Amino acid sequence: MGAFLKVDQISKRFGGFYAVNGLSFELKQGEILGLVGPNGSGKTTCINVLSGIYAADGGTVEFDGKMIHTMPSYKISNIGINRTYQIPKCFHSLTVKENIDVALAHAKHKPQVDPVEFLELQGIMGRNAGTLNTAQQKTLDLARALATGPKLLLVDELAAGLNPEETESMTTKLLHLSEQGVSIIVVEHLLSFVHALTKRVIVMNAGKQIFEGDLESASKDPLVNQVYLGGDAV
Amino acid sequence: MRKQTTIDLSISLVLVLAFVALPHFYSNLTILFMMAMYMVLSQGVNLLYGLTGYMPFGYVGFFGAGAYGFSIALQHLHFPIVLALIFGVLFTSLVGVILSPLLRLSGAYFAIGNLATSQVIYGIVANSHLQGITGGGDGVDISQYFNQTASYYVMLAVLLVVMVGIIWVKRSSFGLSLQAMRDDSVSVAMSGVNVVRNRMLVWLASAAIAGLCGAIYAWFISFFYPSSVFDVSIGIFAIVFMLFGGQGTIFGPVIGTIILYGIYNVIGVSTPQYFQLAYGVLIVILVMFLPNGVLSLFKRGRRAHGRVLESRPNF
Amino acid sequence: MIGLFYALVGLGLNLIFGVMKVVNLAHGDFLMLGAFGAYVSYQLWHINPIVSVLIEFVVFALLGMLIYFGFVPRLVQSKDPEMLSLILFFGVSQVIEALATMAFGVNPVSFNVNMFGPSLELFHQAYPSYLFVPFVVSLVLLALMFFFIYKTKPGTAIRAIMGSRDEAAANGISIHRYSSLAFGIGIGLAAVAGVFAPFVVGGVDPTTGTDLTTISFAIIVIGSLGNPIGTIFGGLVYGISMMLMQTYLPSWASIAPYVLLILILLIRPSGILGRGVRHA
Repeated sequence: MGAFLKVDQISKRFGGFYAVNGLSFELKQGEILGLVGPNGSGKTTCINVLSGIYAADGGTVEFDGKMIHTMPSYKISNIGINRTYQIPKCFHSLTVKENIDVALAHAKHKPQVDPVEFLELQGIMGRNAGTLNTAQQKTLDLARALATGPKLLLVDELAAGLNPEETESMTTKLLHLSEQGVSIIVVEHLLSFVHALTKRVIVMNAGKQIFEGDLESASKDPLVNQVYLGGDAV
Repeated sequence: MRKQTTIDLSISLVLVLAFVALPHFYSNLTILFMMAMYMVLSQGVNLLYGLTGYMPFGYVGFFGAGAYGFSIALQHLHFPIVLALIFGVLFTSLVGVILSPLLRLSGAYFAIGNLATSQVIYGIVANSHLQGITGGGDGVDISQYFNQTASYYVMLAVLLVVMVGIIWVKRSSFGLSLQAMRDDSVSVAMSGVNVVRNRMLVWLASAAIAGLCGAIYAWFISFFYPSSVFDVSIGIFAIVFMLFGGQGTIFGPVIGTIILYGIYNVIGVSTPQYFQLAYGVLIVILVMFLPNGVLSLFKRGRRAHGRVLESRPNF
Repeated sequence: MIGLFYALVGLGLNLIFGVMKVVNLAHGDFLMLGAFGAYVSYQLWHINPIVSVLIEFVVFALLGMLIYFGFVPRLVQSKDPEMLSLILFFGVSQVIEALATMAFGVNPVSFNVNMFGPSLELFHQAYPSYLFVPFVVSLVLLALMFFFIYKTKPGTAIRAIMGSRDEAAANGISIHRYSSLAFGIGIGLAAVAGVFAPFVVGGVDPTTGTDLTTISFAIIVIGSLGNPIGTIFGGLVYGISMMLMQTYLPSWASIAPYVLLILILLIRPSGILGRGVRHA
């Protein structure tokens, strides 16, 4: 079986500034990829392009046999890509249940897991999303994403703001999803979280890929050390 | 949920039946007509602002377009009344489609842009070059079709339809997605909602409601000037009534209209300045002290209660 | 030349929007009040309008600060301040119009074009004084405003608040003090521009306010909201295009400002001089 997701030479420009500049990678079904790099290296922009929030200025994205780089977000969601956000984007005036209902009502695929049970949200279903704390809101973002039954999940800075136990439980959950065949791209600052999830990372800098491989080799790579890890991390 | 819907539908039916019965007890049909009309108009605003967050400051543009579409269909195309009403609505929807690029604007930009478009429509209609079609500044006279009773009942039918429509929208997943859209248009799209299409649908529905009101109003009074059907305050009244009652609620616009339009008629008739003053002061007080409307007073009590029950620790 | 006057008309509104994200729909009504203020003081006490300019600026700036403390802090806390401010100031505008109608009646007031006095006859050969004086005063005031905004400490604070309210507050800038100052100046500028409005736009009556508000919006949107330099540019563009319209297409001139406003909103929502909106 070939690549499930094939990103080819995508770029995204803001004014004269290239946030993503000719990035290419492939991903198999059920594979987890870590996307790391310093602030402003283009990780989140990459996620935004993949999820249709930005149209790419160049390059192509092929997913499950379809070219998706010109699709609007709602179609991308319909064909099975979903995501979470660095800064949670819940529907603040709706309850947790209603938040998930919005996604369920428009879902085109059967969810692999029941998002409410899977993420243990039963206790807060009636609360307004606006009253939740950040960790809860991030979980709710994930629940909405899972409700659409995604085949590719883009996870943007999910561990930031979670305590160690929560992070660990989240790791288990993501691994479980990947066993179910969900491909996952994890954008993350917290390298231990990435490390627990996958061997394969792409290190980005200034919109470009500077390294691909496992995290340990990344820490030994001179270029990576120079721009990001500062020599002694991991 | 189901029970609540039945209750809401029953209240709406009682409301419309009350309006059917009222002319037997109260002779001023114009006030009753206007009250029903403003209920429909402020529901139209409610649909757009209450559910999607767009504030149609120039809502009257659609109202006037409906009035003129209707009159032109009667005068020049010699349509029967019902067809002319439909023509008015279609004409307004067309205007809505033409103006739809405005939806790309947000917040105050949209409100001001919308206000400007209503003035442009007014300027075009009232322009002397179009005297042959619109009658220009001399106004429109369709008094041979004058029938206040019939137009009143048609307005009530529209009121009923709009009420049922609002109740459906509020209860449906479509309505839920609109509310979600207002909170966050990015993540609602990621939930699979076609934001652009939904927005357009609501915009056109809201425009059509205003156009229909304008058309029936034209029929009801049967003689009018461009300045009277493009009076910005018609749209603003609708907005204020909606805000006063409670935005995004089913009965807010109805309650707002009954209370405020009632008050206006008590104070309003004699001197326009005092009326304007009172109405200005009222708006200021409303925004300062009741930004979420009268209905929020009841809800606040309920919500606070709910929060206590649900605030057990989670996670 | 008239463009500079229009720049003055728009500047106050832009300052208020830029600093507080409050849409002052009563802007035109303050202009109208400014016009009546000058008119009344001339009729009753024979005060030269140029003197009125100074007095009115102070009086209206104080009035503006009062309005600020009355309304804005409460407004900013609400759920949707931008929208509610539209409604709120629509109400304020109605109140002002109603009161002005009671006080001054509904007939338009136009000024005696010679009331600036003989001191300016020197220039009579080149320009009539009633056009020349607004030009000079606009120029002086605009220059003063720019000095104030870009060179003085309170001006810098106001610009900081325009940039980011929260960060300005974090840097120890008293938001309320400077916001109220900006609000006061905004209203003051409106009144001052109003003194000259009768000469430039013809007669002024209590209902002129709404039209003046729309014109002001057209101007600042052309220039770009929240950008003071843009406002001058907007004023110039507006003044010139109005003159062209009145010469070549007089019957459509009344809708010209609206059409211009819509076109600019749709083509460049951030204004001609505005930086592109970045969705990040």
